[in-house]
Amino acid sequence: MKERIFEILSDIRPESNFVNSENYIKEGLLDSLDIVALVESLEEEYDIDIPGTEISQKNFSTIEGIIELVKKYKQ
Amino acid sequence: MKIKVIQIVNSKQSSCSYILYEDSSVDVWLIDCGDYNRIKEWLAENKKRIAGVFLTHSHWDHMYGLRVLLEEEPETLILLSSNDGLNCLADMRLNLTKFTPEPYIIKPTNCIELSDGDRIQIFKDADLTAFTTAGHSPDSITFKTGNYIFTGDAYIPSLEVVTKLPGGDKKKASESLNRIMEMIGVYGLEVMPGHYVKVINTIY
Repeated sequence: MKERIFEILSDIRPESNFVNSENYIKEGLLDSLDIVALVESLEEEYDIDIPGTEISQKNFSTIEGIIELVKKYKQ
Repeated sequence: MKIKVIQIVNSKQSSCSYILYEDSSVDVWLIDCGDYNRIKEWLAENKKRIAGVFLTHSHWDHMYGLRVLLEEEPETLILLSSNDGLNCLADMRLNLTKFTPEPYIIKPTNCIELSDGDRIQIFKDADLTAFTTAGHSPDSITFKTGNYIFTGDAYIPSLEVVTKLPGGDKKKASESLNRIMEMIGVYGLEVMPGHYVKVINTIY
């Protein structure tokens, strides 16, 4: 899952290096529009529905946060 | 009589709503509807009323004020693109409210779906022409009246058109942008974009 999510992130922001980032939001790798695109991609990829209440900095700042969010709704 | 334009930079996303008015007319027209309370205050101060709302597209940051407006005045005329405008308003994914804590849809009861080239008389001696400019969203539409062009998010000076949102289309956005730029060049129009770029005549 980790590798696939990195691929999705790179599709959205090809110029950004997500692997070496400690915080995607604070470091400016993802903005609010990117997060909308990311949620769309994650929902399609994993056949899940992520509610708007989950769209927070905490859930999208790191790869671990994103994986945790996907797993929460994949159950 | 010259049309006057008030730009309101909304509290959310720095999107812009516009009030179009003439001194001699009690009716005003809105382009998009964000901070409705501020619009309402201006209307009260200037003894005007809303004749209708033109929507550049149905993303939430351009129409969130419609919720209150339509609650208070359900018969308010909404004018939007015939390219899926009503469907976009009524789709939480396409209106982007799905990605907010409070998703909602809007179903106006009194609306006109505008096609490319449609012309609406907005004041006694002035009309407004609609140009479908899809790409940023399926229902993006640009309005031209007098020397002004209201581009929504199909063209925001100095910014690249965003096409990564649901329903976005890069190729159509590029075609629309070319069309808008040509109109601006040919007619020397003043651009009124969907998000804050410069202050024109902002209230507050």
